[in-house]
Amino acid sequence: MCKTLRYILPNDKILQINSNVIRDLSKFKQSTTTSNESGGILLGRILKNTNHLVIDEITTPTQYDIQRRNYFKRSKRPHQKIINKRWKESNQTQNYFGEWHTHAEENPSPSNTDLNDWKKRVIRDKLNLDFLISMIVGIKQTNVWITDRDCKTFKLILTNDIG
Amino acid sequence: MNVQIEKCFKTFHDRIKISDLDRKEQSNMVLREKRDLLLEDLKLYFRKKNVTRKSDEHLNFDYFNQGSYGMYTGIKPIDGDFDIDVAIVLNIDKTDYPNPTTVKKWIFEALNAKNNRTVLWKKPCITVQYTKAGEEKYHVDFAIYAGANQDGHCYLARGKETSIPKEKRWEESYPKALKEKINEKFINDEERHQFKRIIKYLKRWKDEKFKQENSGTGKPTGIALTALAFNHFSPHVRDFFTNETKINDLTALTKTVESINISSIWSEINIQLPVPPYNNLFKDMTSIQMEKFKEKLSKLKLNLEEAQKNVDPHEASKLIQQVLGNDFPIIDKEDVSKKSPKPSITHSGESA
Ligand SMILES: [Zn+2]
Repeated sequence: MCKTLRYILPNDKILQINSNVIRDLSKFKQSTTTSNESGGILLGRILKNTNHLVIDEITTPTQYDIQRRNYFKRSKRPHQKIINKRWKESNQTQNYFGEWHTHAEENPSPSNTDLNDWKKRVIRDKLNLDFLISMIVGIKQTNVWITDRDCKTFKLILTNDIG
Repeated sequence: MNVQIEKCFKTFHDRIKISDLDRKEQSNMVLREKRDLLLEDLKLYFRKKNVTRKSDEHLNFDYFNQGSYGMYTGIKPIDGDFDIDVAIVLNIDKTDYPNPTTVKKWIFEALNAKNNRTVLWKKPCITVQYTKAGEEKYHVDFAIYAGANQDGHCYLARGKETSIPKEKRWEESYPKALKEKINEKFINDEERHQFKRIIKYLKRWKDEKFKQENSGTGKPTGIALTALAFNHFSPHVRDFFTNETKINDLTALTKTVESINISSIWSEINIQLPVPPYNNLFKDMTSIQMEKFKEKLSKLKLNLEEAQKNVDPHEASKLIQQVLGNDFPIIDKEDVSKKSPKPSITHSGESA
């Protein structure tokens, strides 16, 4: 059984990533020497009363995306279509929170390509949040970062790790 | 989050509880009428029997609801087989009736007078079973006690007519003792009510998760779960800081289950009836059945703990429904989430 993961955000709110997302992402792990990089976007909700965040849906690579051993290019349209569709279907509660991709390393950290893309994204994407959430799915570990409006990137800490 | 989950517990409780049998509520009417009809038959039987007896040897009895009806811990059965427990306390001394089945036979004869019911001998009671196609099933268990003994104690008539001699015995038993013990454990109303709700939640969990098992062996009995709650429950009805009333059934249930769990890590679950005859209420479980029970209990604990930590009331309610069944309502996802004015716009992206 996959565990639900919870991270502390800089504003002291919690970012929860539901177990079904963890399970879906684990299918894309680059566990073999030939598996290619995958990616997609993260969809989630802002909770009333508490303002905690929940990520409970993802998109996965489409035929319009490019997948290489150490490279992934996500096309805009098919993923944007899903955002629009889910936003409508969910009575405007489900929205785009950020992106995910895989790395062929155990405990992943962002490459320069990643960091630049995240910064660009915070400026160009029209976000519902004040920051962009990015997940990198490594072979053993999954790590999460946010990039704020000042283009600063922070690694998030699991709530379980701070007791 | 807590507020919403507590609302779900309230709805759940309203759906599963059985109200007091003697309160004039429509939902209880059929059961109450059946019970009263049977009691009338008993009275009639003894009236006839007393005609041939001297007036100082006249037989009579007291009755009261025992079991979950008496303790207000009854829940609606999911299989539809309602069960009422009635204690019949006769004004007899057991020494006058060395064979308790003589006395049980009176009750059997008195009740076995009409065609529309099946009367059965059971070791601890006489059971009247009603089963009509297309109707709700229910049965009434009559436990028969000798209540006028020289030693001042109270004894339950055990055994069937066909039982071996050592199973035909008078067992020291206090039909009101358990009820009193349960009802007196918490003086504070809120605490006592929560205690009883927790018992009901555990019983519904049992009915949901042990559907295939036989009661008493693979499936723990309602009394066994009641006794577990008696030992492991502690109330969560007040805010820790302000001391104001703040009902938290989720925490109370989680802590109860955690406590049962911890107590049984290294051993089998062993719980005695908290009143005489202090019997082990899990003695009929095999070790394989015990392992299964503990496994299910661990799953219950995991789901409740995750529901407590989960920041999303929708997800939390789903986790609780998985263990307590469909009468526990799901909180709507959209109701607890904020609306956003428009879908966000993403662009193509590169990663490496
Ligand atoms: Zn990368």
